[in-house]
Amino acid sequence: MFGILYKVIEQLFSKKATNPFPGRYIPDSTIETLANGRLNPPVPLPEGLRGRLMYDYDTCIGCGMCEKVCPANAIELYPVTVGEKKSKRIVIYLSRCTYCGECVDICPKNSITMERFVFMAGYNKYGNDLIIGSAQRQENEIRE
Amino acid sequence: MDKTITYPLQIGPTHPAFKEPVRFSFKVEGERVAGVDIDLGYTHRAIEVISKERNFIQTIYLLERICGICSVSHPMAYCMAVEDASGIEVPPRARYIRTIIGELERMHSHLLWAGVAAHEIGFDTLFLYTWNIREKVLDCLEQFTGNRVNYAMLTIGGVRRDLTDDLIPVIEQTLEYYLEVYQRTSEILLDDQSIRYRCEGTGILTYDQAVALCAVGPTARASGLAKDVRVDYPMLAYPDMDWLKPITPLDIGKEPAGDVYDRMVVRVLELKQSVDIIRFCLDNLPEGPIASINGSIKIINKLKKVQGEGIGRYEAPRGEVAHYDILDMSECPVQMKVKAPTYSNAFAWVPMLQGSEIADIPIVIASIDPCIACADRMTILRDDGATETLNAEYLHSLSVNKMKEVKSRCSG
Ligand code: SF4
Ligand code: SF4
Repeated sequence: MFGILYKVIEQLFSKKATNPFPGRYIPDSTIETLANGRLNPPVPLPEGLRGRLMYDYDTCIGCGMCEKVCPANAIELYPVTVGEKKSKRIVIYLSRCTYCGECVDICPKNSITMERFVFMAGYNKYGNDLIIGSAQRQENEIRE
Repeated sequence: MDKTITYPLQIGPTHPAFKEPVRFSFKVEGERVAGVDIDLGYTHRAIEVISKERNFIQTIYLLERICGICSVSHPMAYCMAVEDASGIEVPPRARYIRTIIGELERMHSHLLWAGVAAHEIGFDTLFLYTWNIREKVLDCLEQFTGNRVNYAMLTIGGVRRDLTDDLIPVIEQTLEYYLEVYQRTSEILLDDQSIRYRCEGTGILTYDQAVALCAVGPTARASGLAKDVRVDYPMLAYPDMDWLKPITPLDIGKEPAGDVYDRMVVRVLELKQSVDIIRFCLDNLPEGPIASINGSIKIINKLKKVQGEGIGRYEAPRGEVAHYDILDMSECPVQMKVKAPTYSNAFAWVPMLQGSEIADIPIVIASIDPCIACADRMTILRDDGATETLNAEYLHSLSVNKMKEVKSRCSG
């Protein structure tokens, strides 16, 4: 009984971990308030966090191994021509991705990497901002 | 009036007192529960069927999502089953790293349970307190594996990320923190009067009942049944720890009564045990490779040529989880079966709830730390929405036929 009471009192006087939310609490200058230490900064992202994927169109050789191991079927291959030869390139649907990192590990050319970035909300699951490589696809895909 | 009237009382499938869908049909006499029936099957997701269409690597991540809390236990059992079937060795370093992740997960799962239990008896201050200290181990897991849950650490024949030298102090610090707060936490959880009033003598599962109903995990150990897969079955780094033994309430000098309070005791003591196990693993971490086969495609190609069956058992935070896999010259498991701990423990609900008060129902149900999503494995859905009642005989014949089919494929 007293154990938890002690804890409650301790919590009452400790520094708040959350920032006050409703609009009227928002300070005029966030940077200034942050500098003065009155707002809690965001929690730092750890090293090695599995975040948003990045894809390098130019180094990819279209081997398709990433598509094979992807557990969420988030990777799609499409045909392109490189010079004279036919090849394939990929797009990654971030809305399907589970951020397991299998594709990063398997890629023989290190064309897929993960960055420490987690803000990926969007209104459209299949919008271009949530499909990695969609711009290159529009440019290079061969359509019959 | 001496005539007793029995009223039916339905709780669930979705009810604020439960974290997951499950339906209980009670017969109550006044405030007393006179009869219990459990109805599972509301969160069936056909994981075993889906896995048949995915290759061995994809299946790991699918199984990680059977349960969000024991998200390393299921892949662990699965990897052990496939390794058993194919004879792939796990290097010693990988075994130790697997043990460390498993124990970190056990710590966060037990703290989560303590919070849920406190919430169920209306002690929300304690709920927030335990979930607050749970954050520390989640942060540690995030640094170690790259994610708070669904760690994506296991692969067949090893682990995917190494425990680098700069991570060891992070884990050490976490353990240090838990040793610091352990005293206070155990005092609050075990000595608090309101907790004792609510938990002592509620939801009793006697030793004989626990044996008869095959209870597993902390539920069984609280009834005095000293069984723990980590001790009873050689796996991971546990055989190296000869001091390891199943924790029962006897460890604090208490005769096991098998009530909710004893389940709390076992889980609190296991927190300390997990700290000891991780310490041991860090001190004795062997050098060497972390996986016996490099690269997922090579693993799939090797397993494609294997025929056989394997079993993997692991002590999840809730009890024993067992996976059975059949490999048959294919990229995907031809057949697999998951036995989740809640599946074993669900039957123990009946004697626990019999005769208890209505107000105690939530805490008794929560006391086995149920994970319905793990246990639900059997539902038939039809496109036209028609319902169909499958009786036991039909299901049995279905199962026998399936086994025949699988056997013929295996030997043929
Ligand atoms: S991180 Fe995993 S889920 Fe996401 S695209 Fe790569 S393999 Fe697929
Ligand atoms: S594995 Fe790498 S090289 Fe191969 S298709 Fe994928 S991104 Fe391209």
